[in-house]
Amino acid sequence: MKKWLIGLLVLSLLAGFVVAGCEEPVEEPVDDPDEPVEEVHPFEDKRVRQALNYAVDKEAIIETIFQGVGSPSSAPIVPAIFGYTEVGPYEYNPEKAMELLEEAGFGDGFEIELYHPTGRYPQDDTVAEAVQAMLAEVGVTANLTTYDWGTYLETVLVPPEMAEHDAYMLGWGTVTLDADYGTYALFHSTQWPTAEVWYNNASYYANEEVDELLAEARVTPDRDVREGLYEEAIELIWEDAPWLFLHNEGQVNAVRSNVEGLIHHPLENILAWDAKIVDEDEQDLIIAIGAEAESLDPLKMTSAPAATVAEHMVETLVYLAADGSLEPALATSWEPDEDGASWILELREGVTFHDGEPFNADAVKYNLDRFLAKGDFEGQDEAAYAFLLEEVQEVEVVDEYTIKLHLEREFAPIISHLSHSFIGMHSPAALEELEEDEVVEAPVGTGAFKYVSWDRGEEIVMERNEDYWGDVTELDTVTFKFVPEGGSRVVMVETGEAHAIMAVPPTEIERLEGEEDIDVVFEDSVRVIYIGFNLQPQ
Amino acid sequence: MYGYVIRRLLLAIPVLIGVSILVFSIVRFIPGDPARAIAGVHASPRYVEQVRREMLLDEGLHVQYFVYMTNLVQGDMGRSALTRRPVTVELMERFPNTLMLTAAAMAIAIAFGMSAGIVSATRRYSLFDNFSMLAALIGVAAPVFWLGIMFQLLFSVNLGWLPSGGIGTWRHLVLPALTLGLATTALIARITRSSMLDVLGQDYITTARSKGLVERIVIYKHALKNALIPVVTVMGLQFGTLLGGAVLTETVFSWPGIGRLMVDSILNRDYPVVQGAVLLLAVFFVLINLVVDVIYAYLDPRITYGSKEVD
Repeated sequence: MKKWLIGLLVLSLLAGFVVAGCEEPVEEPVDDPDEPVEEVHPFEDKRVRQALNYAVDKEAIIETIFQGVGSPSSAPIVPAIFGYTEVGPYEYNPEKAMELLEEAGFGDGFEIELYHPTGRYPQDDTVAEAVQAMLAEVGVTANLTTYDWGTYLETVLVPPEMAEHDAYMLGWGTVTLDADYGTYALFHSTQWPTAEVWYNNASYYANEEVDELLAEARVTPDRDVREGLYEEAIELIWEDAPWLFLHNEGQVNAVRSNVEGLIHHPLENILAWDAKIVDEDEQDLIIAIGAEAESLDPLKMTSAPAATVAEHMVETLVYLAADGSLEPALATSWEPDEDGASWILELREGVTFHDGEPFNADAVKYNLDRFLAKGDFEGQDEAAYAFLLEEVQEVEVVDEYTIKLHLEREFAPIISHLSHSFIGMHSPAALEELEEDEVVEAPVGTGAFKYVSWDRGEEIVMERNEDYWGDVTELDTVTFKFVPEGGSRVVMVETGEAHAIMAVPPTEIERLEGEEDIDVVFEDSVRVIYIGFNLQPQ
Repeated sequence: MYGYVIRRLLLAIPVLIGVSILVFSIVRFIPGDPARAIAGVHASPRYVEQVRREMLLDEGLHVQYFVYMTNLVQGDMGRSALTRRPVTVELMERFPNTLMLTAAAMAIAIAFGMSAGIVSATRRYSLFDNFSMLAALIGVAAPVFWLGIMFQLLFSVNLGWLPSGGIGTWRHLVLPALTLGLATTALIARITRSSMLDVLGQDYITTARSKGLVERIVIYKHALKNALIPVVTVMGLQFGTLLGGAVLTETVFSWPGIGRLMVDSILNRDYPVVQGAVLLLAVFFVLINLVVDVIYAYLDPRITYGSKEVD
């Protein structure tokens, strides 16, 4: 009984092999003349990439997944950034998508591997699923592969020959608010990831014209001319569609209505120096944010919460206002030298640090050298964000209140980069006191508030700086509380335990809007979310 | 007895070495480049290299472990890769908070759980019994996260009695301790009830009753002490679980405890902090187990840990 069964099995297996072996060399005849004979990857055709942009309903994603917070991408960078040009969005038009696919010879659809992270960007996996469903409508089958953030970047930021995906979801925040950082790093052909270095042009996009425009914009000091260059580059990029442009993230804060003057900054900061509490005698403002500052040392800061907290105590040379303009802060003016490869900054006089030490050119040199591991700090560790100033070769003290930055080459965005909150000016005397391996925990800056205390996992408290060089703030203290759970932050603003909270969860917006004494504030963020196409499929 | 305790403490050393090797390797088996995770999306390749050097990731695993252990026996757990602060400092700031929360939750669980269990057992199938066992069932099943938010809405938003989160006065402790302790309360109630019922059916209880002892003495002196052994076992295990498992409660109530620190560190691939935190919890777990075993001997004189045991 069993023997004949096994025999049958073996026989049928053999038959299978024979049949398969016969079939293998037989190529399917190409009967449709439009059908590409050579195997072309769909993403090598611009029309396919545009089609996918038309196939996804960005509005619907924002409405249903984000409760209306955010906006469809209208350029590779968000409107708040210097150099932005409105070229989109690609409207939702599945018919047009189908037409384009038909034209390109992919009317019957195709299959792609779409990689995406989970837990990194708000609702990232839900968005990926929505995109998958919408692509299916135009015949494109997207197989999703989900990665945890810790492994994601090393999976997608790889050289073309190592890439196993056809498309990948990522976000990019142009934290300098200058188009250079939002375009050069992502679209210049020198920025393809290599096996050693994780550059960020992971689409392997290369367009000579775009390359030239972006390179020129880097070395053109005139801001109007630069804007023109970015406009051209962005138009080309948009047309080429190396990405499926999804959306600009939004942020939602909630503030009790008795608080005036809070600044909601697109860099996901909330700033309190102009704020006051209208009907309370004690001016003790409490702000609940989602994550703790990992550090307040310029060498180690990497996150928006760290920037938010630090900015109240430590100032930068140039201030980047919420509207994207560059305003004097500890530097009163700046201009490029004749050769364009160095910049001269005049510093504000009569400013003292919280410890009474004077602010001057020596202090600036000390801070920048420490940040870049140059000068006296040669051989030591550089800052996590030292790349912002990587063009700086030397910091020269011209006189007590003048400083000259020598650059390796012309680099126009340098002033934008100097405005980054991680490049704050600390009292050199206080930095001197740090022991080896020790990092700044109690910053001594020149800002409107002075450091009081930091209880880990709980809160950072600061108080008014009476000797502030600008307008002394009306608040007595500001406290940043770290409340990881969104629902808990909402409860805090409802009960008055916090005057303001950052990052209201989308599901709670409607409820908070219904409350009389709470204002819900919508603000753009600087981050775009996109799905990059692999333009060098192997 | 003392000999036993000392022997157990010595035996804990190989256990902890085992734990250290295990944790050391597990964190390194998590896929993902920790240097990249720590440095952040935007950091330059040079900086990533720098972090890699700081974390000794360029060295072989045996070198990393050797350096780690050499420092550890000197009381140095290294520095957090993310904040560059000493791990021991980070842990010591957080651990007392978690310990306080867990102890409060445990106190609630013991007080309410045991009393409910005893009353249920002595008045089996009464209204109280049915009600409290139903409540216990719900308590075991209710997700901590949901429960915490419900407590916040009720006691902070609607009634305004208690703060919704943070740490400070005893009032800050009430909601998180209740949230954390509820499942354990329910568990202890159920175990106490069944263990009591078991003991109450024993011959020596019948003997005690037939001697004419008052019911109160029968219950509390004869029955309870004997019924406590499984209860104490559960308490010990639960205490350890609560210590490590307080993370959800800590998150909902913004409680600066070690659970949150540990989860954040895992997400950031901050190896030194993960290793330190797990080791610390392991030490506590070992100690709690020892305490439980010692309590056994007190509760049941038949259990001894003398040299006879070896014979």
